[in-house]
Amino acid sequence: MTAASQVRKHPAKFGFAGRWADLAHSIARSRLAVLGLVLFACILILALTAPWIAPHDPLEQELGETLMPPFWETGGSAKYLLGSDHLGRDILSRLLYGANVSLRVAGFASLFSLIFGVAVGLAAGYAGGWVEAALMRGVDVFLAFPLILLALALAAILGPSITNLIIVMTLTGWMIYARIVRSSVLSIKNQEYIDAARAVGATHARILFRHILPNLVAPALVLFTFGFAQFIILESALSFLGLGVPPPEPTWGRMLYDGRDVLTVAPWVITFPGLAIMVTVLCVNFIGDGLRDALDPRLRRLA
Amino acid sequence: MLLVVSFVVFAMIFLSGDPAVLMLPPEATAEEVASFRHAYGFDDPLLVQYARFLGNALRLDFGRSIRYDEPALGLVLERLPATLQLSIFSVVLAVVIAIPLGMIAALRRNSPIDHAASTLAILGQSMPNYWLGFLLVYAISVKLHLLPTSGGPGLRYVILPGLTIAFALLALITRMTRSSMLEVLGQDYMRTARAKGIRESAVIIRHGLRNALLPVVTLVALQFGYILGGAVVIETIFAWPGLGLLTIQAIYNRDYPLVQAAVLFLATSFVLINLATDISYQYLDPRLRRSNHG
Repeated sequence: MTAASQVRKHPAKFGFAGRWADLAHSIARSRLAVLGLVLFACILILALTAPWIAPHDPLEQELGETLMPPFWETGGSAKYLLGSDHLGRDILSRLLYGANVSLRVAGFASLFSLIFGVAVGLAAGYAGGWVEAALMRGVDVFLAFPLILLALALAAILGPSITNLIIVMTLTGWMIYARIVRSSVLSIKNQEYIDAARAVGATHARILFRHILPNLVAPALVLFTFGFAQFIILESALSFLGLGVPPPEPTWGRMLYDGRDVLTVAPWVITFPGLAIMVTVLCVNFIGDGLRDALDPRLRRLA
Repeated sequence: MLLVVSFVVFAMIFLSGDPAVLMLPPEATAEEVASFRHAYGFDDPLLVQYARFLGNALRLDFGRSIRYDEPALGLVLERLPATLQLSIFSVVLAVVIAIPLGMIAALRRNSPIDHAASTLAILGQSMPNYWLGFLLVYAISVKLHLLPTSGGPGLRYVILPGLTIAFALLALITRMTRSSMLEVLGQDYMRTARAKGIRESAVIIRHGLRNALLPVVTLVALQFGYILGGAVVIETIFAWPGLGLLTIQAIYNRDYPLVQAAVLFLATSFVLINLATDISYQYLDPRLRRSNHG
């Protein structure tokens, strides 16, 4: 018996644990989401264990062995399983370390966007009045720039570093949370149970955190997943333009940048990081689709 | 709204540190820095500078590019046709393929075409599109020698970057057409139309497609704004001489007047496109007037 079918026997459990069990059950029904989850877990494990499993130091240059093809092509060797780049660095090792950096950047940026966006949306929706007007104008200003352009301009101003990259991405990612959270709060705020809580003397903080916030978990989680996928692509695009993670730190985008000049002679240098990005984003999107269908089908239009 | 955008663009330059120090070579003397500051007015109070920036911007004067020593706006406008050519080519290409594809996918639900369309949509959403650009360059230019890798303008040059941009767009539009069409197919007026004895093709096209396309039109219009901004990456890969390439080079060269002009121009077009879309959307379908937020 799988965990999912056991959950089915007790679907009416109340409280926190019950809710998560229901969620797990609904996600388990979507084969793609499960596939995404499993693959993503594998990628995460590979990224975290990179220092132990990578065959080479990702920064070590072997200038006598540059642009070696992968082992299955003529001229390739088992020393560089996926070949080497223009400085003779092992692509497999860089891919593993790069996963670590790329996922970390995307993860932190998503987390900070979530926190900041939810805070703004919560404040705007709950406070109303001029606070709401001011905050939502702020959202509009940030939305007035095409995302990549905003990121580009900010990255150019702040200069390339991992911390700055996370700041840039957070600044471009928080608006959607603020919008969704605000509109959710607006619809929740006037419900009877909120009036009831207020009538028995609950403080604003208690109403916000006990009665409103739990309702926002579902949409926020769905947005978080899709945001994470988007950030992986954004990181790679910025690093690719030379405005993301500075060298020599390996990231997937940086590897694509390094490979573009040798495309004609060594296509494998860009093939593997591109594949890594695609597979990871695909997994995260599958998870997001599964979560959305499980949690709140009304969010369908967002993706 | 545009006022605030203009302030952000103006502020960009100051967030990055002393512009005089940034723009001059490191070996510049103190007098050179001072005279540079004076020449560009960087020694005035910020508000005065902003007022001047805004006043000049309203008269469409963004100052002179430091690198090219030409009016910045002129340089931007010079590059605009190339970017427009590329964007329009990709949008048309994407629309021409995606709308019939999405429609067929909706009509023949769960058929091989439907599955192919959803696979395409998922791929387009998950692939970094500049990576696709590289793959296309490698396959079509390097291996098959069919098309040039980069340069332009000209039809032969626009195909590869156009395809690259179109692919991501294609995915989105196909998905949207399909789901919108499915929604429309279940409506009562479709049954009514059939009951009136209208030919099936006319029912689908005149009653179905026309209604299903409303959200698609919005999507395309909104995406058009994103393409203008997103062209930066694609234009870099294909060395397409458009606005995006100009912007990124200006950023690399720390040519701030040019960056400001380009960013302000793109952001303004983006705001105007969104505004036009909002207006046309509400005009096309009054029912959606309220659900348009969020």
